[in-house]
Amino acid sequence: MAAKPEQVQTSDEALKASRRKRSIALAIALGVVAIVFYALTLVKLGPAVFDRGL
Amino acid sequence: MALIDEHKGYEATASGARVEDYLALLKPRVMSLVIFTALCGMLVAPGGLHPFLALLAISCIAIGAGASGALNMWYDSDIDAIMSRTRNRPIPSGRMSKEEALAFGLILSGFSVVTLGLATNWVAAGLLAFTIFFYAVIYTVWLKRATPQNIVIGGAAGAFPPMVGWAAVTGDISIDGIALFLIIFLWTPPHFWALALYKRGDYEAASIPMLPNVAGDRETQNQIVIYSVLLSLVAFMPALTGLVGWVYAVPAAVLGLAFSTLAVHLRLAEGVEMRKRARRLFTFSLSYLFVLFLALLVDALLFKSWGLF
Repeated sequence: MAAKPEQVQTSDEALKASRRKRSIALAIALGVVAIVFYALTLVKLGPAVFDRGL
Repeated sequence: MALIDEHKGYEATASGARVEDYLALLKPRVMSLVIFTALCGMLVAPGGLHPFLALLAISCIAIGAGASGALNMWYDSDIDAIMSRTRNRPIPSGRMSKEEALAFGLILSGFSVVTLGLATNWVAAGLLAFTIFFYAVIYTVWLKRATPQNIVIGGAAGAFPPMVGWAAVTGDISIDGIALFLIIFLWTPPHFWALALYKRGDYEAASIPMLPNVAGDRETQNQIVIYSVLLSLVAFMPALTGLVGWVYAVPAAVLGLAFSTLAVHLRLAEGVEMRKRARRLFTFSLSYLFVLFLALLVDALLFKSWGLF
């Protein structure tokens, strides 16, 4: 019989810490996505992105 | 009050997962192979891509592959809990719920396909979407538990990345893109059957119909020889179509000969010795694919970028 999988012991502190880390990772990921789409727009449109009638 | 009152197997609540668990869902080791082969496909393709778009395209292909890994872990959590190789994955170990993995996989799938389409073209995006669908639905949900040919057909999912990389640059699917696809497609069965030969007990315990448990060791060894010889021949396709030259063809010949020899060597063994040789072939097959694609890359770069030949 194979050994049981490693089970997680979760205290309030550990849960809060993992939630906090996840929130930070999510914030970084969203920031990266925003920057990537900004850069993508500039690369795809080139200088024309600034050439528009207001 | 405790945020989570109890943990029962893999019915964990959403709040227990760590950042590392989300990363583990993406199967980073598979991802690295996908990045490498997709990069090769992209660099050997005729034409060019803005470096930022190329980087973004590679990232999208890697994220798409990771997303299909997450979907695979969502569906396979029951059998992952049985196999020694997989039982510490985030869902069977109780660190993450199935729903979290499903949502993560679906969101990343949508994101990677749409971003690849916007960054390069919709042929590449469509191919990436098909790859994710093929791996998550056709392989994981349908074939994996139904037929011993699961690896043969399912292997196509792992073979698409260089074709997606190629399409990202050219916007189409050519014979050279198909050749790169065929190499990985034919490489997958001997690679996984060698693994199944020495990890047979695991697959049996999880009731996955891998070829050794269904058709026996002898038949698997025969199939490994057939696929190894076919792979060694198909590996010449990029040289025959003129995509690359001798810098690729020479290593392809040597590697193909070594692969076929190890496969025949495996065919001649039984019992413990057979398992030892299966392990050796499995390890070699990883180096085979890496070195073959590296040779492809070096040849194409020498020829295309620096015009040396």
